[in-house]
Amino acid sequence: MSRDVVLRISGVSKRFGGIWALKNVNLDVYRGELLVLLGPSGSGKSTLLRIIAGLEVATEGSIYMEGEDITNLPPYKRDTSMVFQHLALFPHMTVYENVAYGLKIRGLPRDEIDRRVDEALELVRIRELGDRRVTKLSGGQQQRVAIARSLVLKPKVLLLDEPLGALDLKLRKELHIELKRLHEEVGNTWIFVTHDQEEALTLADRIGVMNQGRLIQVGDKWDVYEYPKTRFVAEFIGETNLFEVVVEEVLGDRAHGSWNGVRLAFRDGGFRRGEKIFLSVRPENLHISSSPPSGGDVNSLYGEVEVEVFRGSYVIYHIRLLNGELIHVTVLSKDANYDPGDKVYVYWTVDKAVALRE
Amino acid sequence: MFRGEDRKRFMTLISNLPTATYVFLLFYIPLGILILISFTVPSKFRVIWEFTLENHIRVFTDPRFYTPILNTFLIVTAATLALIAIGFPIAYYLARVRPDLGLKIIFFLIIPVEVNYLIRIYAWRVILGENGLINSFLISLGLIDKPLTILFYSWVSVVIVLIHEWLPYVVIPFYVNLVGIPRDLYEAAMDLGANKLQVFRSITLPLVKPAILTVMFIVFIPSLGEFAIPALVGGQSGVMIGVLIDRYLTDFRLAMGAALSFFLLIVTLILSLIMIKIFGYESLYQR
Amino acid sequence: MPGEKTIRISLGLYTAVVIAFFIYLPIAVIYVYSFNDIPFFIPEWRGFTLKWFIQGFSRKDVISSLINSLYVASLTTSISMALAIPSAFYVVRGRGKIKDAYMLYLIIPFIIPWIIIGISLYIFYWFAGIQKSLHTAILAHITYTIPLIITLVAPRLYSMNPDLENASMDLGATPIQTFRYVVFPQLYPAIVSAAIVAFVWSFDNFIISYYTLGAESTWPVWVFSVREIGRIFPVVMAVSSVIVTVSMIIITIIVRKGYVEIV
Repeated sequence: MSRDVVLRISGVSKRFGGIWALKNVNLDVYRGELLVLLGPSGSGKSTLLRIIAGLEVATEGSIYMEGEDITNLPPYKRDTSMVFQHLALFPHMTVYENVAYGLKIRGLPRDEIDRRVDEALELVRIRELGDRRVTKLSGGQQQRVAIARSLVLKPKVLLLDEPLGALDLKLRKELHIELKRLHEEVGNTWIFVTHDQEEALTLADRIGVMNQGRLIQVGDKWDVYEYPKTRFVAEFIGETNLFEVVVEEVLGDRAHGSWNGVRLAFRDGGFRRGEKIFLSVRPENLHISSSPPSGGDVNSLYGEVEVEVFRGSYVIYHIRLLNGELIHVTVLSKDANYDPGDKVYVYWTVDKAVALRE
Repeated sequence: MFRGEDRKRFMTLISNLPTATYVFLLFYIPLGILILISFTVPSKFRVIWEFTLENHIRVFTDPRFYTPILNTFLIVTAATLALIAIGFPIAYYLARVRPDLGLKIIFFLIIPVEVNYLIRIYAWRVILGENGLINSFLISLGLIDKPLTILFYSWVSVVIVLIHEWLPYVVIPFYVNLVGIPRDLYEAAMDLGANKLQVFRSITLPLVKPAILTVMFIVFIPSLGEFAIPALVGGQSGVMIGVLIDRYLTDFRLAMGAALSFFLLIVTLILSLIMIKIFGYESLYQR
Repeated sequence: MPGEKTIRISLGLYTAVVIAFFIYLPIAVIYVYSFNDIPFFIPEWRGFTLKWFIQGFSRKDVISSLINSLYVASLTTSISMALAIPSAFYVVRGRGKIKDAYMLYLIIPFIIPWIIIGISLYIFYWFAGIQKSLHTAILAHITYTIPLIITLVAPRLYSMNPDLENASMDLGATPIQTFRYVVFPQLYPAIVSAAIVAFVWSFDNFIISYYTLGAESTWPVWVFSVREIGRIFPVVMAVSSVIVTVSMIIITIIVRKGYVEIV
């Protein structure tokens, strides 16, 4: 199935003074998806967003929207709309005036503006707040105004720059659901920038992981989670256990290597003998049992439960292995029958581990 | 390709070009000409395009020049010190003794600034003159027989009028500085056993140093170039650089007048530089 | 050590006396001599009269100097606003060595004694053969009011969130529309304050006007020119008291209505 590309970012690099904030970013954005750009501070994700919006201009590379080159178009000529990090609501205007701003600029007739503003406020469920000054609203309400202001223009692409950063945790989680719903209802393409991987996993259809100006990996969120391409991605999204393994031999599609004295099997990725790779195993893919695992394609380790961390619906066990290393295993609470001091076997199916070069 | 970044730079250039050009044509070029002329051979009514350092040397060696210059510095220094001595207690009163009245009184301090500067100096002529208010008042009280010559139209009058002019500008920085000292500093000192006088000496005084410095520059630098005050109430002993420059210029002895102006300019720039070094660029904006 | 109450009373007294003498005495003199029926400044009260007011406002030279001052102040303010505001933007939002140099470049006229601006233009006009007039004075005033306005507007601009302009452009407004609908409404109080300060400064300015005016005088220059003519003195007082009263009323109204930020 070929998907409809609404935005193509091609070879984009951006330099500020002596520093390259973005290095050769290539990304296709598909129509109707919610793409999350995830990365730590300084990864360039906000810069990329601003370049898409037209608020910065790329030093190298081009941006195409539906085939048309918009690289040099000023922001007011682009069919994108941005929700800013600190919202940037116009403090001297009411909610209505803020939302109506873009429509007024376009010169639409008064009754159509009224109608569309009404629609937008209804969409974000703050219809009754139309006449309030934006400075008198709560954080969550202001969020909705900012979103309404952008959506009322029916942009092809909605850009969101970490808009939920200033809100408390509970409010943020509520808004995650709201945003998902809105995206379903409106149906256009969204690009959401955040450093919070939980937020990314909640909201995204696809995730693009960025670090130090580069786009490291982009794909469906399940793919990015289960099959990270680099150590950075594996560690940045979710929790993982990382084993530093020296490759010893490769047989067919299986490879074997040694990790601190323990021999492990994993899927071959074109490795050579002596190469050092990282094996990433997510805690939920690890199993515990008091008796050795039987059969199957597994790697098995032996150790003692050191700490039990209770998280409500699940438990994280910290297990100290024979070779001295610590490993984290996640188990649903109902199956968590082990105590500190217990000697256990920890194992995983070989295919559930991802071997990474960097 | 005409990239967006270039467009932004172009817009910035276009919007600032008129201003930059204006200032260049109407400030820097005239200033340049002034400096140039200050190095020319003096003559009346015209400029002789021969160059000499003599004018500038004379500024320092000829008593006709260095006396008024020294005079200027003395007057301004006296006025500044007097302003600090007079203004600080007021600021202290408003900030610490009656903080409730503080802003209202400050408002009262500022209103008279409305009145035209020259008119106020005129009024001081009335007050300080030979037959002026003060003298008549003192004579009628029988305290003195003849009018106090020192009062009218001398360097003393200049200092008095300078005090009048700058007092609000002195009280306010002190007030702001004092108000900005956190209460807990005083409370901590008292808790540690200091009495009021000791608190004043060890906490208050050292912490108003910034204001003192600010004041010195707010008052000192502009006062050096004062012309109207010495012209109207300065008399013989109150001649300042500004008056001197004016004399030479109205006489059309441009070279010497320019040299004196150049001296004033350099002194001002040096003092401002010192202020920048101590305070950073923002201090320029305090005025 | 004297008690707290003593300190409070004596400081209070001191403050009152100092303010009364150094600040308000001349003001009182001005008001009193506006009504005193005596043509010189002798400390003698000869009776209440309004003739100075009548004389003042019927004299051609008084009226024309006042009008000239208004004219010069208006043009100075409007022209320098137009020149100063774009530079204010650059100074606040720009970065780099060029910006720092530009800031210094613009601020020099602001920190040097005014007499130097006056004198250098006096010589310049003579040198270039330009006839001095009200307009040559306006040109001189502007070199000072440009940095003055920038100084007054920059702090407000600095505290304005630049994302507001970005949001406006993102929503479809051109830079000019953005200035009109987003920037200006925010900046409005600072701009009005700056305009008032510039206007008053220009109206009241003596020293620069003194050296750059031609045949026509502005009010302060006229006042200076008649300083030796004793009989004019009360006229000057009368006119001043009117100006002061009027401007105080205007200021009170403006402050009450909150149009201006009290800096």
